[in-house]
Amino acid sequence: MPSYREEFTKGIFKNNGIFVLMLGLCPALAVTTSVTNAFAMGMAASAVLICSNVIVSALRGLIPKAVRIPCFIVVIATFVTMVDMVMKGFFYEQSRALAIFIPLIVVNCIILGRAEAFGYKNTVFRSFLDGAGTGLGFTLALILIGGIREVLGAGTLLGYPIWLDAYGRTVFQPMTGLVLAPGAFIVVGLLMAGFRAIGRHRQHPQMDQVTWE
Amino acid sequence: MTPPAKKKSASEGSGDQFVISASPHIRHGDDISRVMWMVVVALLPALFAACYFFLWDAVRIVLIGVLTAVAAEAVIQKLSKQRVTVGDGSAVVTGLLVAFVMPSNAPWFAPLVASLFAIAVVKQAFGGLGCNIWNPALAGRAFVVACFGGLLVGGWLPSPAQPDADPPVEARPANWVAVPEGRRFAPDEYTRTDAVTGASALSARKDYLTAIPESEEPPVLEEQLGATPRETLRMVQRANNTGRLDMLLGAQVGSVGETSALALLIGGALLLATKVIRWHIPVAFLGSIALFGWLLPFHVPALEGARVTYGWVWAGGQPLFEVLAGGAMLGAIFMATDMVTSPITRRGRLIFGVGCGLIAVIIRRYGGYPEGVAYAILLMNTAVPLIDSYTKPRVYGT
Repeated sequence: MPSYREEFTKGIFKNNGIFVLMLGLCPALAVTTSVTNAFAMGMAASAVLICSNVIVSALRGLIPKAVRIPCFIVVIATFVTMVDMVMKGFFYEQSRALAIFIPLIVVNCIILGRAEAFGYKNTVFRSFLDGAGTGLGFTLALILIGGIREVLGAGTLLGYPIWLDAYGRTVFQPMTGLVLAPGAFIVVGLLMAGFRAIGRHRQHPQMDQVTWE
Repeated sequence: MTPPAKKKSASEGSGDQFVISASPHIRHGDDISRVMWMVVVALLPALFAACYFFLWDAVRIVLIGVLTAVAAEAVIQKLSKQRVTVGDGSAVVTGLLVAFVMPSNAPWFAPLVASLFAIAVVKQAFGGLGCNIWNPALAGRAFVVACFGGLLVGGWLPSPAQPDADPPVEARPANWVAVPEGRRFAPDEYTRTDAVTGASALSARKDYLTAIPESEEPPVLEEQLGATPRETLRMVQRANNTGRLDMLLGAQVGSVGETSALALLIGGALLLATKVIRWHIPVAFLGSIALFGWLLPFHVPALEGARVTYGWVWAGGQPLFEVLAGGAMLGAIFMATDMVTSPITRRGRLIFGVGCGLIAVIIRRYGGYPEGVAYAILLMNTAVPLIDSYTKPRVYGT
């Protein structure tokens, strides 16, 4: 049985939802045009993930195995509806910016995946830690993608223009292509390659000696 | 390239008579390095033409493009612990081609980003030479157009040496000309005449063929108001009246390396003579551009005040113009024929070439961009595995 600490940290790097498991790619591609959007999406998805993981884990004795997926979906959809309403009520602008992608959290593969693979089989507290860790990893990944796309693609960070010199002139031509959909694929692809390289280095340091002819 | 089996058997002293090796058994002296440097040599006439027509702008862009491509290739191969193979010239070819598809007044970072993207993402990320799906240079250009679109494909652009304001009379160079205030120019944009790329013949034509009178800066020519589609098309053909000889020699507006059809043809002849390329793709490509350029009707707007009606006009097209304008020559001879991203069989190459030409003409006629050769080649590159699987030759006897 892994330690509590490990349950929490494994979702951040080792089993990062986007870069390692390659789940939840739709929001990772669609809403990461800015850091703000990425953060909001990550927070919304994390809230749903933690709550659904906890509830699924608490109900795991009651849910029959044959109909577990519909049950998970009902639980997840409940929390998504709540998150959607909360965002509409308190963060209206952000809710407008994310638009359809908030309701679409229902079909986020990471959330259903954790409910199926973890919440249904583990205790409530472990499921909470797992949800929190995976949610944090997802949020950090979105912020990383969003940061790269916003800084290079729009020339801003959190909506404020950067790349200005002392006289307020722009010193960097934003690469608008990165804000477009193909740019998202390119950025995510390169980050995945980077994560795989680091992961290989950690797991098999001897591979570093191999030369590719 | 000596097969390892041969080396082994020779060292065992069994002579060369009984060599055991995997197919292919017929070998040729050609290798990657010889082919690539031959392409570089074939690009030299176009490079000289570019330097003649665009002076230091061409030198600047070519230097940035080539140096970036070579440096990126070397660094990536070093980092990923591959053998560093910049000496084989493939990165030089990519850099040259990237430079050739840039407008002469592209900002310095445009060829840099394009070369970097071409080598790092399109070529090396997919596995290096021989593994890329798209022509790296064209994909680099497509990326840069997506990123800095307005700076590259706008009509008239300020030259890099462009002053922000009207310089004082005494400071004006002898050849200084004020660009007249008009549709294409920002009100206070001035420039020296020898440093500007303007609208190419194709984008001038596109201006006639797209009419959106409600927009803020309408791409509608005043003379088009009230004209019928047929009259508009006649205006198009008048606008296309750059002498065909000028277009052949290269005295036309366009990207750095694409203007001189003659220089490109000389390079193409060299490649054909040395069998680096075969005739199928260029002939099919240019032939289908000429054919469809002649065949396909124009979709021409007619303007009655703010109302736009479109009419189909078949006016015979201008096949020679279609072939000589824009990047058709450069694309057909040097880019569509890229060994990595073109079909293997002769039949496949003919299909590939015709497809490229058809898509290019469709984009030129009906698409948003004035020129479609680059995207046509990229799209057909994507289709190459499909073409290859359909044109696989039948095994003898089956």
